[in-house]
Amino acid sequence: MLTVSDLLSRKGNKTVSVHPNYTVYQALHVMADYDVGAVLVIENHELLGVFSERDYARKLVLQGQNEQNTFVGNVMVKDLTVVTPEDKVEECMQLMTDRHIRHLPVVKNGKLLGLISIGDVVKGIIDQQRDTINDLESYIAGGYLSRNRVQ
Amino acid sequence: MNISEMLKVMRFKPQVLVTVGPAELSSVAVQKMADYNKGALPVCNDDGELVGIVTERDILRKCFVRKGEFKDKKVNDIMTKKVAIARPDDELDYAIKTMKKEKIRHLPVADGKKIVGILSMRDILGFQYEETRTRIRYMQMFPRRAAVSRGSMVL
Repeated sequence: MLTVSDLLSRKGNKTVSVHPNYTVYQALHVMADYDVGAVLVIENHELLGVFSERDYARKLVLQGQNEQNTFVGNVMVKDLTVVTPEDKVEECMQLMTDRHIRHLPVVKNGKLLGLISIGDVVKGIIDQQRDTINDLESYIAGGYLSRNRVQ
Repeated sequence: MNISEMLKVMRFKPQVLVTVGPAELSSVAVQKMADYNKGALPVCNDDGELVGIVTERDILRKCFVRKGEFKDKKVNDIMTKKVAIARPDDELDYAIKTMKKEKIRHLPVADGKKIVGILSMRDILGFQYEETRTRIRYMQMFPRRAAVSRGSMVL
């Protein structure tokens, strides 16, 4: 079974983060510079929240708030859904589907290890299915079935 | 499995096709995205033909960097005109590859120039999730047979 740890080893553990005292204006520049849809909000190595494109569109644009007068700390999502490296990809799918979210910070023992996006999960499932089909085909053709694929 | 087959399988969840016109104000697009909880809207002319796509990312990248009132910008000013699309009989694999390659999460599905739907990364995730749960249930019922059966593994 594919785990979050497998996804992270494919994509890497680099994350893009901002301080809660950044203005939204500054955070938007960071998002554009790094070409990401969401940034982690971190203070003193502690993960406080996530700020995404959706938060910008729904909370600032819709409400007519000014990007330069608003702090990320005040509009970020604080009630975070996170996963551990041992969690299975299927659990990520369930969380993203049920809570309508696109990003899952990966945390272990209070330490941030990376960020998984909906695209990472979809790609992970496809790769897993492709490997399973390849293994089954070689099994049927007379080869060995590798142990970790049969799930 | 191709896209139209997948959309048929997902019919248990009725999908509303929400679009916006090129001459409408950007604020209308933002409101529609919030009302229907969508991250992207296909932009269609009066004939239902796809002329562009406007996303949350466009709102973020194109509205705030420029000086000037966001309120005055029309959808036509901020939309992406060169839209990646899929045909109803394209394979799901192709749709996923395209999304990854173009770094997009939404793919309008068009029959000729007419838009017939929009496929999102979330739709694919939901579909995969249902597939996975069905496969797990099947394998729990027939463990040995499931290990050699190809049918349950094919997308």
